[in-house]
Amino acid sequence: MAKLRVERLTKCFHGKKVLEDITFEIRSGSFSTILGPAGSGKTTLLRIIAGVEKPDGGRVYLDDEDVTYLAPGKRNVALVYQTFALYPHMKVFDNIASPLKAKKISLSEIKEKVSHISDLLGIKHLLDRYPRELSGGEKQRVALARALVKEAKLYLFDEPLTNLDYKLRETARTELKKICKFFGATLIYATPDPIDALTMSDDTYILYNGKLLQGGPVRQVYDLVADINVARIFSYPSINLINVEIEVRNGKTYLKTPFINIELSHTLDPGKYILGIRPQDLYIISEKDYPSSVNSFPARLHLTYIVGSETIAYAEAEGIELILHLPYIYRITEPKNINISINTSRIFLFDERSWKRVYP
Amino acid sequence: MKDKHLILVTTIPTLLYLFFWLFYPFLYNIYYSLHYYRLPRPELFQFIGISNYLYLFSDADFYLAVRNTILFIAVCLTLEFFLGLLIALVLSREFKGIGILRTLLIMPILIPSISIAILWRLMIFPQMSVINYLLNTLFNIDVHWMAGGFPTFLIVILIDAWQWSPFIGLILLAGMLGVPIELIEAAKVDGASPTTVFFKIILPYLKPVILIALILRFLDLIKLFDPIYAVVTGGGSGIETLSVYIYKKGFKVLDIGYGGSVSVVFWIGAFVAANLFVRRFKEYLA
Amino acid sequence: MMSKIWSFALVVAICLLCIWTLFPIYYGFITAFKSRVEITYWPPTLFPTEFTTYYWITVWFDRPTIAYYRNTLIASFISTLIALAFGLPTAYTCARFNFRGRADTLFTILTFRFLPPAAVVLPVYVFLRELALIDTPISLGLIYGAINIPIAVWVLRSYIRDIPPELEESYMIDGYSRFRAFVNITLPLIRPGLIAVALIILALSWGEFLFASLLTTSSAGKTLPVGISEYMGGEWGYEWNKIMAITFYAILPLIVIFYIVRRHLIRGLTFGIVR
Repeated sequence: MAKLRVERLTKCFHGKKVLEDITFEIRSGSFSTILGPAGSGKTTLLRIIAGVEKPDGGRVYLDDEDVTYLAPGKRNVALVYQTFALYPHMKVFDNIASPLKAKKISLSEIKEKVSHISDLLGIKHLLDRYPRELSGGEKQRVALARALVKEAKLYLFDEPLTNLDYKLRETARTELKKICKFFGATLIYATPDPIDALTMSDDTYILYNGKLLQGGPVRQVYDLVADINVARIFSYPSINLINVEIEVRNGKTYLKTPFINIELSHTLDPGKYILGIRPQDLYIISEKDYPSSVNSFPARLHLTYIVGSETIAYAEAEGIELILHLPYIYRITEPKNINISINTSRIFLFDERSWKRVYP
Repeated sequence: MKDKHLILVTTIPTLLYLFFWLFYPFLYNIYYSLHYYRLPRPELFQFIGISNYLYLFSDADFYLAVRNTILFIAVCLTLEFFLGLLIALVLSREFKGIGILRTLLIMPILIPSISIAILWRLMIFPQMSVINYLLNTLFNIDVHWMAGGFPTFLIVILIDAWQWSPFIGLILLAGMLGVPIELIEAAKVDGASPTTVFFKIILPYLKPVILIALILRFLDLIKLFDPIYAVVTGGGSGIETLSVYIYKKGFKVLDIGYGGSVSVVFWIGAFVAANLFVRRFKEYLA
Repeated sequence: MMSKIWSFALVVAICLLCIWTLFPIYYGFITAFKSRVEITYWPPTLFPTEFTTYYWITVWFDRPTIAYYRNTLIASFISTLIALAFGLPTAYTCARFNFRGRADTLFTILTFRFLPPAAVVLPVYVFLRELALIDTPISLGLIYGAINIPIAVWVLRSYIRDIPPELEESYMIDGYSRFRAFVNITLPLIRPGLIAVALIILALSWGEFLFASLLTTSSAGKTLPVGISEYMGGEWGYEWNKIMAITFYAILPLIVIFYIVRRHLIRGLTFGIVR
């Protein structure tokens, strides 16, 4: 359990700013995700927190102690790499025991702890094997065991699920959360996958191009994205962005989209804006509900593909491409005319120039 | 230990050691070259300015040595390239026993050049030469290989080629095996003949590798010494390279002053050449 | 039809290459089994009519031979030790750290490899004479070490770069120092490459001729290459059987080394540039 505070961290590689002025604080015992696309600086940030990389500027505080330049071995932090980083020339047992041997604990105690953790993770039968003999899922669990056996203050995970196949990823998510809650550890989890953030974490921090765009409780960030970049990152599949206009007539505010006009309860300055609506918040409505259903419009559905038991659909209306995410299976064999309805309580409006959210 | 300190501690001593044995002597060479200094009579040591250099640049033997060095480099590189290519082509096949063949044909690389020179010397030694026997019976000619001039030139080239063609061959082979198999197969499916496949697909892939091999060989050939020393017994042979020139005019007579001047010129030339070409390697590093 | 021609050409090429490569070795080898008289037979025999192993044995009792072998061993080992002692740490930092002078350091080191020994031998000779270190295998070893450091640095660096730095980092996070990470993670994982480099440097030092011949004067310091070359002109003159016997005694360890490191040869000889 530890509190982490990061202040004004900066790092440059070959003249390029990989991290710029990063500041945030993480509560002890919380599960935080660092969400960002590839190249946003997540890995560098984790490495600086772990101590294998030194920042060009800024400081790192663990439980109010300045550890910025402290050797990684002395921080009592654990890092699980995306590639798992298992020592190929050591058996699984020695891999897991490694952090314990560093602490110079007695051999019997080491055996006990390794045995306990491998029981918990269901890898006891693998202790005598070498990493090259393991499957992806097994390697991940060994990497996890090595981290957990340390009983560290802070656990850092660098995209640990990326190297697993789709099915395994889903089960791994729940297992990971369960185990970590069990240990009551403070956890930081870096991922490009917004679903990881939504399903697992308490807090999330959005990283983009080395800058921290937003941070806070996960639901809060999700529902109240700070700007278009956050919206783009924190959305799967990609968020729909449409150019719109606000008009005020007879004291009422109307949102003019290319497909329909929506009356808003809020008042906003008239002018051009960018509308953002997530694919999850667009629905296909049946013939009989149209046109009586409010906020719906016709569109042409031309492509769907099934993911698990859900569908991602591509439609086109008034020359604009829309993506929908349907929580059921919907198959088409040829393009079809449909009607789409917008969940107006979930729309975002962004300023045309600054890209910042102005509504809600 | 801080990272910065670690870097210094691990690089400075190495550089110092290298400088001490390989650069510091160069400075001494400059110093000696400006003096008259012969070891048998060290008391005659005196400053004579650039006299050594003047003598050097007017010595026909020096230019001969330079010419020979360049000649050797050119001919050896060409021969070794084509022989190496042949070796690589042969060894790139897959058939039973290719492993043994590869080991056998690559063996000459680690055999010391002086040993190789001796093996060849045995084969060309007058009155008992196997090679002469063959030439005698087939073409009725008799060659005195060790007398200097063209025959000796040829032998030295053969010795160097014998030792180093496998080196080039090995590198080219590695390059060939690195060509993505799909490209070759696609070309074959399209009906390309083996020659077309080779020239249009494999060769472009080999270009960087060929360059590296030739540069490495070139830089080594500048120093050519061992085979010449082993095959030519005393006396002028007309094929001395720069290294041999230094040996004869500097070391044999222990004329440190003059030897120093040649060494300076030689060292600078080699340093410039090495620098020029070593820069090329930068491209092949991430 | 075309492919039959190619196949035939291949067979011809293989035969020619085999003869070209193996004949000199074979001929030298069996010459050591010939009697004194038979060496000078004309036409030269391809297989001794009187097969003699006598000279293989006597060659050892010609006193200098053992001394030459000893000197060669000492010089080669010292050379390897020095090259690795200086080269390994340098290779590690140049592989793991991206510091300002790194490219220049590496290229300077590489450039030194290409300097002609002949151009530095004179002052080195004078210098060693002052210190009375002429004619000792130790001084040979010291200078061979310098010559071989570039190979050690570049090739070891290539092997170290193959190891993902995350392994060392993970080990350090586990609670160890960088040094321990180097010893317990890096070294075991580069072991085959390290052994290969050591053996290649050993082999290169073993066969070095120029410095050895110029910096040694007696059997106290002379190495095998020098000894052999001298037998040619001096002591044994035309006793090719003895010369060949000792030549092969000198070559044999190298052939063994060659076989052991054959997988690493390309990397070893191209300074790690080609893998």
